[in-house]
Amino acid sequence: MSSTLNSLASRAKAAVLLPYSDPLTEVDPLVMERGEGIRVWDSEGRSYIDAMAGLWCASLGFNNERLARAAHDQMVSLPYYHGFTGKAHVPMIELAEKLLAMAPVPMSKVFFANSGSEANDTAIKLIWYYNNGRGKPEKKKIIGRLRGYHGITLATTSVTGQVVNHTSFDVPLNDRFLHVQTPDFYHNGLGGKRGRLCLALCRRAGRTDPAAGTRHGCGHVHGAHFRWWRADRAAAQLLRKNPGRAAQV
Amino acid sequence: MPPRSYYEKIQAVLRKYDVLVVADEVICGFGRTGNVWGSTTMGIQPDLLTCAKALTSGYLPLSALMISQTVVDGIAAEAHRIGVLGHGFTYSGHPVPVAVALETLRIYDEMDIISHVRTVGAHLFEQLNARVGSHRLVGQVRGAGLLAGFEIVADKASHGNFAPARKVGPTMVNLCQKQGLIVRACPNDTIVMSPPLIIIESEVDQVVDKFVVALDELETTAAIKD
Ligand SMILES: Cc1ncc(COP(=O)(O)O)c(C=O)c1O
Repeated sequence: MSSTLNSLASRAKAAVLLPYSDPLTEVDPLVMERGEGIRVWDSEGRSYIDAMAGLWCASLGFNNERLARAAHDQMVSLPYYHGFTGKAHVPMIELAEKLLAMAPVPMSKVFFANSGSEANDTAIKLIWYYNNGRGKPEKKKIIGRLRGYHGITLATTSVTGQVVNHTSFDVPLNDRFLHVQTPDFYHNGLGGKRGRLCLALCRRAGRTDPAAGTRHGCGHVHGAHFRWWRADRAAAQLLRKNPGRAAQV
Repeated sequence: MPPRSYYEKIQAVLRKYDVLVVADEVICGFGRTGNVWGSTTMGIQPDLLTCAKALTSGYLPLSALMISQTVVDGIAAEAHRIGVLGHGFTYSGHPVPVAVALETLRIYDEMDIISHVRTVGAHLFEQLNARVGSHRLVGQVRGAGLLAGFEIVADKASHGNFAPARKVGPTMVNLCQKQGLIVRACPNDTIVMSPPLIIIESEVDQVVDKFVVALDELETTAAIKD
């Protein structure tokens, strides 16, 4: 599809450096105009079911009135404030309390940021800060996953395990960032005779879960026969060799 | 997908070697996998947890990091020693996205989003397994709750993918788009979906109908045939 000179699509390509696109592509971007429920409409009036909710985002669909009203009401009462240098505000306090009450395990405090990248970046910085504070300044390693995605700030892009996020960006940043294999049994579980034997032993032991009982039951067989497990054992060995230097993720 | 007890086991190794666990719940948080947190679905007990996206239904930018008592105590002691915690964004906890997040979480509670995701998610996987997983080109259907993907393979038996240069995944995404369906291609020609959590069963059926048409069309394209 080629665009006429003044179409929205050609203006988008001319003026915006669009993320995750080829800036020189012939293909026009879809220019979205409105949304309703699980659907969005482009500038040509075509409708789509957005089965990605944008980018894993619009959980309540694309026209929730209550959210618009909540934003409007807050805009009117206190449109901006912050939490620096001994300040706070009511919504911030309430949301922190609500999140702590929902947490999957007991959590102590909430730090707010604006994006997934910033939250993960803050996690990394605070872990280093924590380790420095407890007298382990050499403990810096962050373990990510090949193919994992945790954002694109300098630190988080180094944890992200995707080639396009690394190539020509001078990351991973340094030797603080390690990547272990994706725990993807479909591709990384060993096939062949030994793999089948292992699965058969699992099933006989009443386990549908091939990783169950690694230390008992059919455990030895697994430990030896699943590549992903070996990759993580290798990571564990690495940590063992260098116990002072391990961090996380 | 990892085997079911994978995370419990790897976490035991991490604990043994004093390695903290960070759960990135940016996608999985707030019901996506059929529990409030992906950590619950996967058996993870994180020391730190990050979330964003569905926190505000994506309507405004906001993310949050939750930190365990032990780590908070360490951070607090270090910040106290220095005199201040030298970290924070101008918009950390901006009142407008935070107000939208509070309303979003209220709506999730009122509509019992977790039960909804479990019911509709079960229907989604039933449909995907029966109608997409059975397709000649599809090797695996995977996911949890309303987070789903299926992998297009050259050989169902060996799980072998097509050469990446054939761009099978992106071709499939374009075919879906022509059907009026937005999905995404991930590595290994995995087509993924993560629809609004408010999706209902009849809409799930429409999505799966479009997948089936697009898969049949995909078979006739140069990406597969030549
Ligand atoms: C799991 C996960 N973590 C982190 C991020 C980064 O979030 P953001 O793009 O808001 O920086 C994403 C974004 O897609 C994500 O999916």
